[in-house]
Amino acid sequence: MAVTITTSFYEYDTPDWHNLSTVVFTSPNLVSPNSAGTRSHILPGELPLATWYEITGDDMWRIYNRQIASVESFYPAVDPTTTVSGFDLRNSITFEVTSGENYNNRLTAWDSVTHSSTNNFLIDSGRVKASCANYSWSGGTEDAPVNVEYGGSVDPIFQLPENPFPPQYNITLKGNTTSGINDNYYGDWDMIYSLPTSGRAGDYLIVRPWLDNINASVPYGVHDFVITLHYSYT
Amino acid sequence: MDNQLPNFSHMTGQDGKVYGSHNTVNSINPYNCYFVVRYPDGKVVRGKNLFDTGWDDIKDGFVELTYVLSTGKIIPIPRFKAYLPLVECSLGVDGSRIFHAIQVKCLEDTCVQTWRIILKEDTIDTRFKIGDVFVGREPLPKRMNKSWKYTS
Repeated sequence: MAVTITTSFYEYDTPDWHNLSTVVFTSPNLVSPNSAGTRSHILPGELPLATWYEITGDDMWRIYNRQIASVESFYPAVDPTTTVSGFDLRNSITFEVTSGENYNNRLTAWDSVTHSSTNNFLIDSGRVKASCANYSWSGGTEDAPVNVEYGGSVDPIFQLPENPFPPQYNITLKGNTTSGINDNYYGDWDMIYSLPTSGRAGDYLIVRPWLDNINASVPYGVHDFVITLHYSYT
Repeated sequence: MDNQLPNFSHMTGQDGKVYGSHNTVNSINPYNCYFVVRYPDGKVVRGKNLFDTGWDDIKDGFVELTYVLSTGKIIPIPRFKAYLPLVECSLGVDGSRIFHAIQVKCLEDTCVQTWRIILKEDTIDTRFKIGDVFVGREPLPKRMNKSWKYTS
């Protein structure tokens, strides 16, 4: 059946879900929240980049200090075969299936809206990274997000989805390519909508994007790219 | 997900063009692509579009499956025991969306034949044109879900 997928993020100070427009990597020395579209031109290597989530024609929030204090650049590696932690709805992008089923999901990065090439300095040089996890939810309201932990006993409301795929930390996103034995994408797996009567919600995918190795070797300019979820449905 | 294609500019009744920074994609118009099945009594049922295909409303027992693209091309699929058509799509976090292909899985006795109908063509990878069909094989599925539809 046709599938419906929403993309959003959670704003913590004035708690609400927002439809994501753009992920912005720009200077951290701006006030958060700020008007959508605000950018600061900084010299690579002079300051660390900050991650912001933006709503079309509204505000953008810096994820680090306005959402939840966390390591802004990356997640520490965690053994995905035992427990999963470090993800939090307050600093991640959420894909939610609200009806239907989608198969062969693959999350990766392309240079533009054509979703077909990687002719971009950040992507080609392996600087586009993400940590990803998919799960379903049985904790009632989604308006009180907590750490995403499943497989452990700390917070069992996050559950493995019907077709679990291991979370991955700090992977490179680069089209459909592979590097040695590592895929430069997250996937492939399936997501299935859970009926409300099942006591579960989802399935969900949460993604925390970041940029690696931003230093003086990065040329001046705007380096736009698109993080994309590929999927199939009937 | 609504039925908007923010990155499809200058869309006509037939197709759409997507302008990227290094590439330009010509795509079918997803509103005007659908399947047609014919039953033994002559009854014909038409699907809807690529957003909501209508496939899950189709009853088993048809004898003919055909795809109609917005370009006017008609692609008949040979007769097999059952079919599972999957629309391959991609959704960017910026709302951009591309329809890549329809992969029709066709059940045989010992394997699944895949008919892949291309829905876009671009200026970088020029091997594929809209309406091209690539046939392949894959192993039988471990389980058959309800979206498989059987012929009579």
